[in-house]
Amino acid sequence: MSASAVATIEPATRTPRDRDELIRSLYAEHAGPLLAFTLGLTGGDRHRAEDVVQETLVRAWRNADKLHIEEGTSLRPWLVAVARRIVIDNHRRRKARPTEVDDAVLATLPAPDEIERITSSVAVQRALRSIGPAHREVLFEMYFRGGNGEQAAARLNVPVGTIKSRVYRALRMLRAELEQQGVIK
Amino acid sequence: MTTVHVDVAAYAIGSLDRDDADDFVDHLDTCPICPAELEWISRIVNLMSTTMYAYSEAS
Repeated sequence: MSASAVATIEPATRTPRDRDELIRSLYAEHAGPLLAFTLGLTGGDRHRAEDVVQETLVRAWRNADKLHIEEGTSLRPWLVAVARRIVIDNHRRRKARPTEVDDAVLATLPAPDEIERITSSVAVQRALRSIGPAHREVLFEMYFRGGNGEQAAARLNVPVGTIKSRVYRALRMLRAELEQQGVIK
Repeated sequence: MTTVHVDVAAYAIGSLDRDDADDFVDHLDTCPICPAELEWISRIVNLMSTTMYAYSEAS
């Protein structure tokens, strides 16, 4: 079973085996792409990037009972957001205390502001509705479902080149819309 | 791949394969345009990451 499949099971009804399977498949499906992504955030430092991926998946494991997605969506956005947060927090911490790494700091990191999250979520959904189906579906395939360019191209029956330029344009349109909503400057 | 600029969006949303992402990271070091592109795209992606539980659409 894929991570996406297990993650759609209502957490309360998951068996311990489902939970193990969720974590195992998270590694299988997302560790590689996450590392590639994290490498960019760490300026190509593979060792640090691997640590970040490790920490991201540990957090997924700790939060396994809260991870729940709708069918057809992917945990990738959550993992990418967590990885980015870890990199930023690591960076801040290194600046604040150059020598030691304190586990207690990790445990007390502030959660993202819930109200802000909901506000953003509403704004993004409104923006997604405004960009039109062709651009929305390419974002859905590539981001929310977590596929690569080839998979999205096959699903949508358009060339990979078109997918790539379309995802870029979709993000530009989202930016314009979110600017208009006053969510970003 | 020659037109690696275009990968900035796919990279930012985490959907490049390992090899392509490695190529893009190399490209990022020397490209005068892509780092700034990555910056605004990453802000949008951060905002998008708030919607994962609510957004679903068949196609």
